Amino acid sequence: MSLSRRGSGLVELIASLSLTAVLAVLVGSLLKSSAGRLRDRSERMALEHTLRVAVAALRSGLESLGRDSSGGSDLGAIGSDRVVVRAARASGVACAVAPGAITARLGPGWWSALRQPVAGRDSLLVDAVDSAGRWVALALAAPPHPGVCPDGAPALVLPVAGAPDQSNGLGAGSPIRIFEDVELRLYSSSGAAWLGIRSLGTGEAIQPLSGPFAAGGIALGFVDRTGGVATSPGAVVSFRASLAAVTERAGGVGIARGTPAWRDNVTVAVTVRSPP
Amino acid sequence: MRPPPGFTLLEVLLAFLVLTVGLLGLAGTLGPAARLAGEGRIRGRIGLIAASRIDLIRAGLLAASPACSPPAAGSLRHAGGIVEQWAASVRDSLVIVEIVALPPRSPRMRPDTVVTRLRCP
Repeated sequence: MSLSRRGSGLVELIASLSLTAVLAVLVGSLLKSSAGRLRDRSERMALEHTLRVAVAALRSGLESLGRDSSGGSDLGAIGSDRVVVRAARASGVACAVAPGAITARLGPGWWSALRQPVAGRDSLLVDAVDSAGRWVALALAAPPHPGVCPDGAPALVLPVAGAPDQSNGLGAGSPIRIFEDVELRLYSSSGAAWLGIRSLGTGEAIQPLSGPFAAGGIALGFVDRTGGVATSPGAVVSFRASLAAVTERAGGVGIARGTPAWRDNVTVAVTVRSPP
Repeated sequence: MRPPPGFTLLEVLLAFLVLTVGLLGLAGTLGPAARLAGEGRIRGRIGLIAASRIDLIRAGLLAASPACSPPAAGSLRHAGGIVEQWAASVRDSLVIVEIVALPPRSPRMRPDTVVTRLRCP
């Protein structure tokens, strides 16, 4: 018998290559469709994230509003796609109140802040001790500095501007809210619409908070106590917000090429803390 | 006599079969991940719906004050197929609100229920 037969023959080679090709096409198409589905899910998750961030920002900014301070409504201005609100930046409890300065007790459970108060940018709302819901608005006149409470505990001294009689009713135990006026609005950038925020005190440029949204993708409605349309900030009891977000990948490349942009909508209602 | 060197066609086929099964198994793990992502999206949306309903009921109570009249029970079908049902009653100057959200047809997801109490304004 001849020993010349070694390895595979040509027919076997062609058959195995053909099978390889068929299997590669099958597995490739399967993986491509799976990757496509996963990509679409990821985009929908990103879309959901955009909506959730926007809703959380609107809810946290709007539901804490009130109209129970000497400074009038916490809502400064309203529009179909913008609001100006007093945004909380810190909160605490006073341990001493004197004309020109309010001393806030420091420590866990006493003082909570997103950042240090800044003079010229932030203001204070301080509630009366004798009757709740009578918040006094005071401007922060100078940078805060460390101090001590009458009992020797560490504290933060907040220099305030305002007539001395504004301190009437305030004292040890008064709740303190530090706030700044901020604008939340829809703005256009790079061909897309974004929900942005900016501090009015600093005059800074608007910063993106969430997006992208469809053109005109945020519509705000304002409801008064009777359920009708509120025409002034001081009459707003409740907000209706409709948001339409889109994905960022329209006109993508590679595996994303040619796929349509997703769009998702959500409508939320927010009622303020202390309505007029 | 020594067997000829190299692979036979049967061996090559078996090797590809094993490889295919492995790749299919790998692709199969993508399905549950995508399903869980979809469920998370629905649960998040249900949370927004419930929070909005509570705020709408609060606004309705303010509109009706000084009377403390709870809203009538109702039902609403939202975009995406989530069905929201709510009911409210008054007890001891508190409005007890119950909201049930039914996820869109999904045999794995059960309805979500939120019960809260609102003070009469």
